[in-house]
Amino acid sequence: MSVALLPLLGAETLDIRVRVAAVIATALMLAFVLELVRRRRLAERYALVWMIVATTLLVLAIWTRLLGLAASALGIAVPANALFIAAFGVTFLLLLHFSVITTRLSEETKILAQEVARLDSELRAARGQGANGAQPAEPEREPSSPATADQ
Amino acid sequence: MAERHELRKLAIVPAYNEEGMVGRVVREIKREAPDFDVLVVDDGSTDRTAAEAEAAGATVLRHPFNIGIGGAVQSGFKYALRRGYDVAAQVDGDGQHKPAYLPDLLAALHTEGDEADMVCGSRFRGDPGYKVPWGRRLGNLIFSVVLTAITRQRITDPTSGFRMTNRRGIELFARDYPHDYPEVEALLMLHAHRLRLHEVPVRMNARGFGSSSIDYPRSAYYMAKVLLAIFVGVFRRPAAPDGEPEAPVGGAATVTPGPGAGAAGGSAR
Repeated sequence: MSVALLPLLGAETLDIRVRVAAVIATALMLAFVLELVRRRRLAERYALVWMIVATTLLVLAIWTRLLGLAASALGIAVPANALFIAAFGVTFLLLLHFSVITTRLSEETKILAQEVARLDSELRAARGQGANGAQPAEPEREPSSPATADQ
Repeated sequence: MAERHELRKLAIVPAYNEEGMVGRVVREIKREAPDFDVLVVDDGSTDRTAAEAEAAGATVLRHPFNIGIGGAVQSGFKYALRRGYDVAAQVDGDGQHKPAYLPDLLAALHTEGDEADMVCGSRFRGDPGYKVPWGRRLGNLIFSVVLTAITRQRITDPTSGFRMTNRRGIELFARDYPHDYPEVEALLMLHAHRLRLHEVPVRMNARGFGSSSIDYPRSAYYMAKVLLAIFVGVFRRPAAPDGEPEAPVGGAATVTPGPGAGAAGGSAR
């Protein structure tokens, strides 16, 4: 990205240094996300959200006038404020999204732990290990005879 | 008076690092309520809880890691459902609950017959048996007022975990059971599913090991969380629809203990 090109894309509203910094930062962010996907450290379905965010920021950093247009369309006087609001909204939605995922994962984890405990118990019973070795194998035993309870 | 011997009864003992206590609890249940099978749910303990419980003669479910009291108790209800138990009681592994009251709870579950699906041991219908810290009393009072208003029934000890339920309760809680501090929310679930609750006065022991002083920031968080759960819970979508649970073990007839109901629902796998 040549610095000389940038004025052609419009908007002298932003200091050129800020724009260059923004372009470099968002480009790096995009590259980082792609690299995480490439190394399989990030699943595509989550990467997609981040790539959309990074691409949007990159477009806005290059084409500054777009931000101004969007801001005036929404009746926001200072374009930067539109960016803050959008960023805040997106961040909020992402965090909420992750809370939902976390909830689901912990529920699934709980069920797995319970199932592991069940299988472990049944396996030990089947092998006749432990003090309760034979117990679960005779579910129909008479509970009225207290003799079985104490040993 | 009717023959109840055929009912299969389970005591669920959730335990997390209760070495030195859980064995005592198991033996006490076997002594005071010998017609109960004892299931200890070891919720990822790092000490000898499981071995001690097993040595005392309990069946043990071992969670591979700690998933919290709600998940532990639910593990017990799932076990009860799978094995076709008709009655399941919760007796905490920290020794707070006195197994000597199990027959009282059972009697209430039975005499109430068609009127109670769950019986709760309440510290506040008589002498609590120990000095309940004021913070705990206050929290309990707030929940008590709210729950009494919602359920239109006097509930004096909504945080008591000393409970006993019948087949309907077992089926409900095996499907869905609240998470971190489940006692209060479980009562709401019960109400939402039109199951009936009855309280019985019991005495309890002060909690097993030391620290009767409560962690105040945490209990404030607990209060807020449970109150939120109460108000959300009123509108919450049930996790599972009513009706037949997965893998029923042939015990549909035992929901209400009728005369000569084939209570010992087959549970062989």
